[in-house]
Amino acid sequence: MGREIKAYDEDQQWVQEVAGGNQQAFSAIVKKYERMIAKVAMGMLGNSPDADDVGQETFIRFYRSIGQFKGDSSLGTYLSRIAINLSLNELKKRKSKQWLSFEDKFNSHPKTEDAFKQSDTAELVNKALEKLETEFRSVVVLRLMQGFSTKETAQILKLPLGTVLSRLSRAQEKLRVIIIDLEK
Amino acid sequence: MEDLKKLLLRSFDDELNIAEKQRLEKALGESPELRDEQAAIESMRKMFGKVSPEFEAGFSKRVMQKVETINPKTSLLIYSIFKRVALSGAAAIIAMLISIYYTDGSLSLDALYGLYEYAPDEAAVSFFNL
Repeated sequence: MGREIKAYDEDQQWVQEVAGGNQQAFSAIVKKYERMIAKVAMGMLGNSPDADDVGQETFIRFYRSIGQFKGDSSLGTYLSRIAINLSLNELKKRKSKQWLSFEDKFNSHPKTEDAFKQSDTAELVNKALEKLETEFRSVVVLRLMQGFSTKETAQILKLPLGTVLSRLSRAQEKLRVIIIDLEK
Repeated sequence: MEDLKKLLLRSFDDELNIAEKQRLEKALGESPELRDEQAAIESMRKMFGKVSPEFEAGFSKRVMQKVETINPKTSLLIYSIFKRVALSGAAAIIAMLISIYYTDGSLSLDALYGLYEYAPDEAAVSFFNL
């Protein structure tokens, strides 16, 4: 608990400094939360340049609207909410434009394969997420990959807790089947 | 068995009540299949938790390069000015409506355009001459 309070105070301090024009403080925030946002963006969008764009846009939007961050939630939760919303918008755009599938994007940008293809496990997770519907993917990314509590996940997605719990159960059922299938 | 599997799934993320916990524990003690399912789900969850994808090298540098062109103070100033202008505009419209209602006792279109003294044909001519 003590560590959490200290981390919160540190974030609040940095946010105040950024609002005052200190870009080094903002750089510290980006470095601290880069991996967290990578998990969200790449979990939702797969290994693609779109994920990198969403990641960048997440921090830029935060920077532009720094005055609106009141500290009601943790900075990680706040940034994850921005990242999830941008990722969901990107997925909607893909659907409406009938973009290339995840798999095709993966293959069409060979230089980005390395980022996700750290191991067979990572590749399996990526492929499993790809097969999951958006509403299930988001809860899996936040709860299982990111480690947010179910309550935090519900806050980020602005969903009732019951809906999140139900989607998590359903998502795990589906993932079991998908993974067994992929491992064959 | 299906409802036990659902209970098992719920146990990972939700608070089970005492009766549900006892039921699940009893079932896990009696069913190797359910225990295997529990182990498989635990393993799957760990797998997802371990994965840590990364952006391509230089991500924070790319963000900072874009950010250098933005001044948060300017953005804050524009936002606060816009907010004041919007609120002032809304206040002016409300004041105007209150004034019209106080003067004419109505917020009809005629009252708003000030054409209620005219016959319909005169009102139309006046309106199009505005």
